[in-house]
Amino acid sequence: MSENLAKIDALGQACPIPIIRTKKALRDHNEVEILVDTDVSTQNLEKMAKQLNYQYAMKQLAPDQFQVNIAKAGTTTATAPTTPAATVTASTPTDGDADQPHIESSEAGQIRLSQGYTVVINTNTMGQGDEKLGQTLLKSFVYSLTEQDVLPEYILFYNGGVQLVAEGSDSVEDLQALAAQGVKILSCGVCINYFDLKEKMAVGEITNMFRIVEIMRKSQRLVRP
Amino acid sequence: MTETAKFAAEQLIVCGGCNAKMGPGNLADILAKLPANKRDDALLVGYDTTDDAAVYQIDAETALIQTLDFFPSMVNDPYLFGKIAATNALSDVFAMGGDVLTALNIVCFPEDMNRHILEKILQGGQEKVKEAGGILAGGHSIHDRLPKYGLAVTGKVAPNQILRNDTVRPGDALILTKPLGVGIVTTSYNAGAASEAAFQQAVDSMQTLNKYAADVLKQHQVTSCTDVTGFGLAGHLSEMLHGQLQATIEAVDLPMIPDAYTCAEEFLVTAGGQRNRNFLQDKIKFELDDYALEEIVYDPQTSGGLLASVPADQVATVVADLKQAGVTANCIGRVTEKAADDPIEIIVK
Repeated sequence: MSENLAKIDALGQACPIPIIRTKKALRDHNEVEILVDTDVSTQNLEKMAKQLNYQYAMKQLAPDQFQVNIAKAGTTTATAPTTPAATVTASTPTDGDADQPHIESSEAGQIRLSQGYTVVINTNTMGQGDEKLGQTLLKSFVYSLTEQDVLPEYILFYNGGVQLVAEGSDSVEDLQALAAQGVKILSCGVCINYFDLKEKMAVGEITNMFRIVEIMRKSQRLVRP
Repeated sequence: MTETAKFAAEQLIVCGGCNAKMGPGNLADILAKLPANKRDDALLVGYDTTDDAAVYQIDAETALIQTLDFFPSMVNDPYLFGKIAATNALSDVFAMGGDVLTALNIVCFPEDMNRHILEKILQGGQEKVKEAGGILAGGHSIHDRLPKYGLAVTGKVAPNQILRNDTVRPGDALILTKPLGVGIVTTSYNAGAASEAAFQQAVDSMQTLNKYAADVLKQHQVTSCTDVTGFGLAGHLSEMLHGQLQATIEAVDLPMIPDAYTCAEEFLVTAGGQRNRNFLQDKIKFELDDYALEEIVYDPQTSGGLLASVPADQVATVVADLKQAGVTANCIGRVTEKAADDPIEIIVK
């Protein structure tokens, strides 16, 4: 089979996760072969294929195991379900494409996100010694983030850090550029209110401590200036 | 954690809320096979009418409303989960036109999970019972693999004030409170694909008691009322029409969380939505080619709004009064007669 075929094992996963994994795989592959465990999941995949004018084929391998092949129009591999079922079992390792924390390329090839890498900015200055110098350094830090090969998934702002997302901050443009590339920019709501910046927020969204802790906990790495 | 175990854990959240509800088709088949109940004229509303709650008449002035609802979480914050699950369970009493008297906690909780989490769930639940005007009178807790929470609620209503879900009349207009799309938004958010703002809109909606809408509706001539939950707008509207009437929905008037539509366009849809589609698609005709809108109409709602019918000449007043009270409300369509041989119950145009 061509390397343009991505195999996904989505057994035990509920919608929309099989759909999200299929869509991701279709960015870099012409065909996706996905295993799901409910008929309803195959129906949801079929709806997507139909809407996108992709070829769809499904066969049931076991009472709770369905193999779906989705191919972009023009590719000729939609016959894949005739592959002997024995070649695809529940234990077949996936190609690892969809879910490992690594750089994923978008269709435009522009987004450079890495799951699990989060930047935390908790003050409006970088390092200790001189506050004025620290502010210049932090602006430079944010600018340098925009130039990285791998962008963070989240940038979290709290305490004095929230001043960076407000009108008048030197970093607003850089942060907007990051947001435009898919980086999620979240500021602590309590802090925004404390500094009275609610009306002045120029980039990103408000979040709460619960979410901040959750994102930090799930991140592979936290990066602090 | 292995990849599989990680996905299993995420799935528990992704499948929460009313999305965890059994499909309408399966349930109807099972209920139909049960032996018939003892006949009792005091049971004013039972499960043979697919209404929101059971209503049992005590005397000439009083009938008791009984309902229960519980499910696994669709949000990570336990306090929020408690509030949403309680709001959802209490809703059935308001959908019947009643007032909440007492509520009992229903708790499933893993033996080895931090008990502080349970404390937060129960705190959220208790706050909502209090806000609803009721008393939390007890409960029952068991160990289970994943947390589930809800309430058994008792309410009361005067027998002549009951808002049934099957008494809509031809010529009535339909009012929907709360925006649609909370199922799509919460599952998409848990999969990292919906915005914080959209999730917040969904959460705000799910923890808003239908009491405030019901308080306004009770002051008007409402012919029929239900709440929109796991079967989606399509499913609950179909129950309301009970195979006898036809509704025409104006797509442009359907209130929804804007991001829900965007997520549906990206196929971020749920198993519950597809189960609803399977059960209802022969009864619905979409006169416009809008895939994402179809998903919104089938989307299972957790703690959704009230769907009420009122005489058409009064709908503007009722909607205005609801909005005056701070309730999101829209007139979404009209009800007409249906030809007996017409399988289409709902037209969306």
